[in-house]
Amino acid sequence: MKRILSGGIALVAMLFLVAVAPVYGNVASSASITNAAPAITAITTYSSYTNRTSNTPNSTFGPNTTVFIQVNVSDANEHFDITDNGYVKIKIVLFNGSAESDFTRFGTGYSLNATLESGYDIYTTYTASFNMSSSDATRLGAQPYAGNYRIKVSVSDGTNVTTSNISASQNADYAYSNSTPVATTAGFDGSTTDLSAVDMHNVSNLVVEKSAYGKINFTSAVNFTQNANLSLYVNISDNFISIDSAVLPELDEPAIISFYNLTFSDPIILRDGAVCSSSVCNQISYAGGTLVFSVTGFTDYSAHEAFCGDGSCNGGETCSSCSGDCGHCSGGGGGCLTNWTCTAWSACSGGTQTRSCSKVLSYCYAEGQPEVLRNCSVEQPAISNNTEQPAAPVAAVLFDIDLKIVKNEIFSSETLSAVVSLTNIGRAGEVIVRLNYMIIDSAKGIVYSESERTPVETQLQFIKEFDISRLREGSYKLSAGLSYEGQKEPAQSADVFVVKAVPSPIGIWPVGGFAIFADEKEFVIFTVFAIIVIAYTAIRMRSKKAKMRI
Amino acid sequence: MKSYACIVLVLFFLPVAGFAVAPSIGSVTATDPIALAESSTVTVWCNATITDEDGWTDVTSVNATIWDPAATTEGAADSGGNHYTNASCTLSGGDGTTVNAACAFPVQYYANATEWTCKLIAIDNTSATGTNNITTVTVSALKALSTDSTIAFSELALGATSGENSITVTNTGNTQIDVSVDGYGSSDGDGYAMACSIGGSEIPLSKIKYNLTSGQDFDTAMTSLTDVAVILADFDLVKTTDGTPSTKAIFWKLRMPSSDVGGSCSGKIVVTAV
Repeated sequence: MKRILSGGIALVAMLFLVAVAPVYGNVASSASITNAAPAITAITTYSSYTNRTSNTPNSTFGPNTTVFIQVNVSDANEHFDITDNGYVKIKIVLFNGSAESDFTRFGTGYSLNATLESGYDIYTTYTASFNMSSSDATRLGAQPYAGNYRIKVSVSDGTNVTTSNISASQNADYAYSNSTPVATTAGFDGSTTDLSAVDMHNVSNLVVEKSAYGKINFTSAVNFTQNANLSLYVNISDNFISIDSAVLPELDEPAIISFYNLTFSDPIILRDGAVCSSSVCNQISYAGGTLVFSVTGFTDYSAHEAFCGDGSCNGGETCSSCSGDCGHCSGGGGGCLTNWTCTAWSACSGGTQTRSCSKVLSYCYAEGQPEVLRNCSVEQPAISNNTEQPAAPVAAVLFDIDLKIVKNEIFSSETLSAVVSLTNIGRAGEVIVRLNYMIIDSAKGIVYSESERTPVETQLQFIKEFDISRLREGSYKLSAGLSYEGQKEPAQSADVFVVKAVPSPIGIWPVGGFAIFADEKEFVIFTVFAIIVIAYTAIRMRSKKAKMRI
Repeated sequence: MKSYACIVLVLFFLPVAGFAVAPSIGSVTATDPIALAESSTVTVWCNATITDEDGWTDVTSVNATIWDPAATTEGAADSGGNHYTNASCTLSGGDGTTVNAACAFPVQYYANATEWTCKLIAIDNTSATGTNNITTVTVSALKALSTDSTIAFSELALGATSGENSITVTNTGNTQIDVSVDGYGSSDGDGYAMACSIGGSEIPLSKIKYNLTSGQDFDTAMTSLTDVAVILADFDLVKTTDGTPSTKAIFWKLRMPSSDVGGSCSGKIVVTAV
C-alpha cells in the first residue's frame, strides 16, 4: 500500500521509519547542433536609409551621393549564430556586364564591414554605406562617366559552433550616373532660365516667370538633385505664386517675387493666406501694379489690399481711423502707443488653455489686452486592446478644422464667439499649429485678421472670441485657416454672421421718422412714464390757473 | 577406614565438579533503528555484559547472530538481505566476574526493512554457554536510486530526431520504488529541456521524449519531458536481494527544433524515487 506525499516520496506504511536522504538522480543531458550555413536573402541599395523597413530602393546614384546597403541574412541556427561571432563583409567591384575588376578604392577583398541593425528569430539585417566619389566615374575612363558597380557580400557565422560556414558570395549591381537632372519648364515664359543650357547642380540666378502674372528670381544658386517638373509644382497665376517645396525641396530657397498687374492701391503680402511677417517677407517696391518683395523660402504667396487690422499702418490709415494698426492718438500730450504680442496657447489642460501677452513696447500704451485664458476640450484617441492586429499605415500629420459661430446675428457691441475644433486625422503626436483668422465683408474685403499658435495632440476644441466693435452693420464671413509644419493638404473652415446696429439707450430705433420699441415691456414702461408726465403737467397747469384766478 | 577415605575423595573432588559455573548474558542492546546507507553498508552493534562467577577470564568467546526472523532462521547461512553472524565479538572491560561484549555487523543497504532479532552466545573454558537476545531491532526502509550521470544525444541536424538513448536507474535502497521524471534547461523551472550556446536559444521540453519500452515512435508512443515531475507508477523497480544491482532503463529521444537553435546544448533530467 502506498501513499503519495506532496514531496513526491512514497512511504511504506509499516512500523519502521523510512530513510529519505538520496531519492533522486540528476542526469545531465547534452546535444550539439549541426551548424547550418548562413544564407543571404537580399542585398538592396538605397539613396537614403531610415530603418529596416522604411526605405525606397534605388540602384542609380550620382556623384557625391551616399550609397546605403542593406543586407538581409538568415541562419537557421538563430540570428545570434551570426551576430555573436560572425560577420557580414562587403566588397565593391567594377562590373562591365560580363567581368568584374577590382575597385582599388575599396581594396581587393571584403574590406567593408557591415553593421548589425537588427536580428530576430533566424533573420538578421546588416547595413553599410559608402560615398560615391565624383572621381569614381573616371575609373571607367571615358565619358559619360557612367558605369556599373557590383556589391558582393560574404557572411560568416563565426567559429563558436561545431563548424563555421561562409555564405556563397552574392551580388547586387548598381549603376553610377552623373547625368544631368532634367527640368520641365513648359508654360513659363519671359526671362525664365533655360535649364537645358546650365549646370543643373549649380544654377545661379534662376528665374521662373509668367509674364502675365509674375516672376520668381532665386537669389542663391540652386542645386537640382533630381528631375524637376516646374510646370507641375511651380504655380504662377493671377496674384498667386507657390512652389510645392515638399516635392522640390531644392527650390525652398530665398527669392524675390514679383506680382504683375495688381490693382491694389496699397497691397500687403499674404503667406498661406495670412499676413506675411516681416521676418519672412519684405516689400521692396510697388509701382505700376507690380509688387516686388523678398521671401526666405517657399510656400503660397499672394497680395491683398491693405486693411484696418492687417497689423500694418498703411493705406492712409491713421491712429484715428485704425488705432489697431496705427495705435491710439496721443492727443498731443506725448506718450506712445504699441501693440500686444502673445505666446502660443498652452496645451489644453483641465479644460483651459493659457498664454501670455505683452506689449511690444512695454512702456507704451496698448489697447485692450487679448484674452489669455480660454476654455477648451480635448479628445484622446481610442486605444485598441487588440494587439494582434497589425497597425494600419497611418498618414502623416493631417489636420481638419471646423469653425461654428455661436450667435450668427450679433450687435457690434457684443463679442463674436466661435467654436473652433481641430482634429488630427493623421499620425498622432503633438503639433504646433498656426491659426489664421480673417473676417471678410460682403465686398470680399478683409476687415480683420489675427494669428495665433496652439499645440494640438489629437483633437482640440475651444471658443475663440473676436472684438467686432469696429464692424459696421452688414454681413460678414469669419474664416479660419490652419497651417503647420509638413502640411500637405489645406485646412480651412468658415461661417457667416450679421452685425446689427446697437439699440439706442432708451430702447427705440429711429426708423423712417417713426419710433418703434424693442419689445412690449419697453412700450409699457414708456407709456406709463408718458402718462405720469402728462398728468403731472396738467395738474401743475390747473394749479397755476387757479392761483391766477385768485 | 573405608568410610573416611570416601569422604576425603568426595571433599577432594567436590570443588572441581560442583563450582564450574556457566557464563550468563545480561540484557542485549543494539543499534536501533538501523538506518541503512545507499549502496553501502552500515555497522550495526549488538552489545551485552557477560557474567561468569568463575571469573570473567573463564569466558573464552562470545558470538552473535542478527537475522530477519520473518525471512530466515537463526542457523541459516549469512545473507545480506536477512542474516549476519559475528563469530568473535570484542570483549573489553573485564573486571572480576564481568566483561563487556560488543558484536559488530556490516549490514548491507538492501537488508530487509523489518524487525530483526540479535542473539549473543557466551562460551567459557568448560564450553559452557550462556545466551540472550533482543527481538525488536528495527531496520528502516531506504528509498534510494542511482542513475547514469549523463545522456548524450550527440550532434544532430536541425529538425532531426536522435536515435534512442537510455538512462539506467538502479535501486540502491531496500524497498521497491517507482520514479518520477522532470527536466529543465539552465535552471529548474525555466520551461526548457536544454539551453544552447548560440544566443541563448533553447530546446523546448516537448522536443525530448521518453518511454519505458525500447524502440517506440517519437511522435506517437513517447511522452514529452515536463517541467513538473510526472510519476511513472509502473516502474516497479524491486530491491536487490543479494547485492546484484537491480536496474531498469528509461529510453529517450531528442528531436532538434528546425530553426532558432545553434551551438551546443545542455540540460538536466531529474529522476526521483517515489
